[in-house]
Amino acid sequence: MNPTPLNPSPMSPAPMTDRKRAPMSDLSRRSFLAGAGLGLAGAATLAVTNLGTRLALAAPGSPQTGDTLVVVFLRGGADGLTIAPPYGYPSYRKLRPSIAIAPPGTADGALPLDKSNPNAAFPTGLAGVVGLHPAFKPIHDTLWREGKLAVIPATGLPPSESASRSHFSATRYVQAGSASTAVGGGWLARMINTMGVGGVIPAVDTSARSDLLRGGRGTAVIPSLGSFGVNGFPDRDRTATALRALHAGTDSIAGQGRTALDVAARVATLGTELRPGYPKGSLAKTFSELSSMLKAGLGIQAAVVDYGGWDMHSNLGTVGAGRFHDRATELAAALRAFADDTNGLDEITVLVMTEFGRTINENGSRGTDHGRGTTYLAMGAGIRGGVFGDDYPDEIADEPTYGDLAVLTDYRKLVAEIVTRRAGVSDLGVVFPTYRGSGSLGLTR
Amino acid sequence: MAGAGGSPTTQPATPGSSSTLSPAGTTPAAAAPSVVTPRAVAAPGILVANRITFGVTPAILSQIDQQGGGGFIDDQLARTGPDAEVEARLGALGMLRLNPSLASYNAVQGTGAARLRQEITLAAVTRAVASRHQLYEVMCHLWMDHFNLEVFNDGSARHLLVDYQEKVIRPNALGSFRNLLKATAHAPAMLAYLDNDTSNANSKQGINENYGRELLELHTLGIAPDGSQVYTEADVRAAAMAMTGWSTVSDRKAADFSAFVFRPQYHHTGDISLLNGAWIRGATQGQATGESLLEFLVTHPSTARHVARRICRRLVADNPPASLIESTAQVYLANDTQLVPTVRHVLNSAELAASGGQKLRRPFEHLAAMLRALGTVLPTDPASDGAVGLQRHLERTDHLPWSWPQPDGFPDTAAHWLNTGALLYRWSAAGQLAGNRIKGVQTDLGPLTAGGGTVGDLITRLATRFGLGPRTAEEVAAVAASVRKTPGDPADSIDPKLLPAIPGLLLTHPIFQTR
Repeated sequence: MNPTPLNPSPMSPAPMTDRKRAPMSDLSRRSFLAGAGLGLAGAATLAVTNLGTRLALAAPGSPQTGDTLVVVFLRGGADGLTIAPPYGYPSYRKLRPSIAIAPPGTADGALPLDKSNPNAAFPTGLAGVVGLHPAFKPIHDTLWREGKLAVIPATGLPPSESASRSHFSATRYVQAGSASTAVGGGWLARMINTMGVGGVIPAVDTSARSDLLRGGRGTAVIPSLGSFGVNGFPDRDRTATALRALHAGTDSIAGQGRTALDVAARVATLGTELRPGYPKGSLAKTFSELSSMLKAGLGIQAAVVDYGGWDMHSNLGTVGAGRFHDRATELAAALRAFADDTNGLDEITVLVMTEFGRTINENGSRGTDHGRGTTYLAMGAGIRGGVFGDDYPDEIADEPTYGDLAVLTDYRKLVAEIVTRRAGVSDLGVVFPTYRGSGSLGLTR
Repeated sequence: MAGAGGSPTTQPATPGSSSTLSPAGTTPAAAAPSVVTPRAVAAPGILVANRITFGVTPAILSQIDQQGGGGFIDDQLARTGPDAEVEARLGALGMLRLNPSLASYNAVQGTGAARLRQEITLAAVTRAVASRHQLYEVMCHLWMDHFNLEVFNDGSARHLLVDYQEKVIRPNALGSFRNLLKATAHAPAMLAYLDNDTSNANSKQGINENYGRELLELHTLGIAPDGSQVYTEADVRAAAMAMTGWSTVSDRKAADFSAFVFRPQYHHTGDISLLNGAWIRGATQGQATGESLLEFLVTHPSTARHVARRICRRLVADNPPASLIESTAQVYLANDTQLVPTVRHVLNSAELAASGGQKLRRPFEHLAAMLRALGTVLPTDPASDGAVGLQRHLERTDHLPWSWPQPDGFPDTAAHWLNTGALLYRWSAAGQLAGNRIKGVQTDLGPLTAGGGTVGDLITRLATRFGLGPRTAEEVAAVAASVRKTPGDPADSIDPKLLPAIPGLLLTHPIFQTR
């Protein structure tokens, strides 16, 4: 394909009229957020305008929409060429003799990402260039059909930050949002810190394995609602009082301790049973609990789900079985249940990202080694379905040892668009202090 | 490296803004961050004792009283191997003696896998809690992290794990880094974990660079915190080339099945050089080429700094002072990679003396410290309720030995481990242990709470015993209130059912979370 010049549309205010009205339960969630964050004045504003917190919180002239941003991190370097296979590329079939995915319409073929879906947009001409691994059928059937799933192939760290192909460097960089050691904590944490308002729990990390929320104000790490409390002591209330006294200091342990006590008191009433429609498995349970927390009105603006196991140096597998199939199937089922449970991701944007992609060459163990370009997914009621990116390579480099998918879209370009247009951040420089790019892909509504 | 994302700092807490981790844009190495408040920092002897043990005990406190901190350091540095008395207690754990063989392989399949996990965990807890060679055990954990591997979930390599722990890491923990590095490079578990066993320079698909990369990045030269590194992608491939042929015996009928073997037919025979020719294979051939490369790497200045950084991060601070890393690297090189003089330099350094409050106990260390503080009787049967209960706590705090999936090892920074969920788990475990609520794990509160006097006296005695030092009047009153008393009430008037709350709460204290 020839490079297609991107024609970035200037950012326009989010169209308010085509946003579905939130059901009452979601409005009350947002009302709680406003009340907690703004005090009486904020709550009064909300009551007067009656426009929902999303609009009440927006600064004048800002395109703030205030989605909750859920980042799913595929730890290990997920193979973007298997998530979104470029099935028409000769090099793809040739260099992956046992793991390539067939074109749409054939047996075990990729799911189409083309103009057969009238709800999808292809602003840079990427219709039909890649498909989607068949394991993603649960979200292809719904979110893709409804125009709520954006696929961004050939993205990742820019060349200046991806030379080492180290898991640890790449993970640190994409989670910090910068390769500079002067930038501390995660980009999602800085997003939270710059937003200024927050409820009981501004941000939830479901495992503490990633750095995305490291340094985020009031971030609660909640691996499991069922065990999020203090037990083992004879007198629960007196214990909580004493713990608070022991954690009265100004140090970081005391601060985390007070947050833990506040959050534990608030989530103690939430049900811990699996919500209807979720499959078995720990990832689905995580999303079920996240949904419970979102519906409880805790003011959650960001959440992280760390989902590992993508470092598939061997036995990546076929369409119907194997390591990739198993991981992607569990991921797609959990995302589908979460979307169904949240009125089609209303006021929620989900970003699925990873640290790097993998080599075009299948290695001797039927897996792939460390590469650079990969595929990100974004989905939500405020996401415009389609395939986005500055471009896709004409050919995937076939060097004897280093061949991989080039990064043609800096990951921060799409994340920046999401945090400004969906999460409501106005000061992008705080979130990505070393990012010098501009323009947007147009994947947000 | 994982865990290098943020750094803890001490900041005034504001209501509703409880996290005091590093705000946006700060330089991790800029300040001297403190995990606990400076007022809480222990006396020098206690500080260094906390750094080189899994928690102080009355015996250690009394030894420091008599010999001073320096005397305690010297005593610990002289104990360069395991505590024979504790090792004898572990004699019944037969899986700790598994060697690379088909019999071992068969022993850890099916239900054997769970048994292996239980034995490894109970051995780790017992050694950390009971060994009098505390610094040695601390160093074992340091190298388990530095040369981490995760083969438990790989049935074909699982049986190699104890051989790696018992014959590769532990014998070299306070020896020389040279021997340690070479032992890991020859270890079947490492070669299997990082795919070097199948890396074949003469196959159509080519080499597997996994081990070569981590050998340079994690084990030796390292990537500095500022992202700088002395090696290139080409060096990674060259290292992988040099190590081709370092493999394991795949013939199941062989007596030494899965032991180390050099496979000449896998080996790259052409020229190899690293770091712009700073190392070349020269006249070496076959396995000798890899040995030559390891010899070159182990005394490279970047390796010295990388190893020094790892030691200082363990013993001094999450972001150790550059001055200390540099001086420690010099001692490492001047002593031909010997670890005792290197560690001695760190322990006697001014930087360590000034580093109070800067190291968080990781979950395993917090558990061991609680068990030491309480004098809990450890279970001896690895499948017992008690042992399984302790293992469950380590599982849910994400710090079960040998369960970190990546080759960089468990993070050693507060930023990774300090969070709301983790604190709740710690608090609950403190209450459960003090209250004897983990079936099969017995703590006798009698000796701990004997001594009469007032409730306040009791709290102060326990706080001192646990290494917290005397507590403020407010904290003493708050702990007393948890058992429905005031500090002036007689200690023997406390309801025995409520009594466990006193030691339990002291084990939740922010200072007890640090070392």
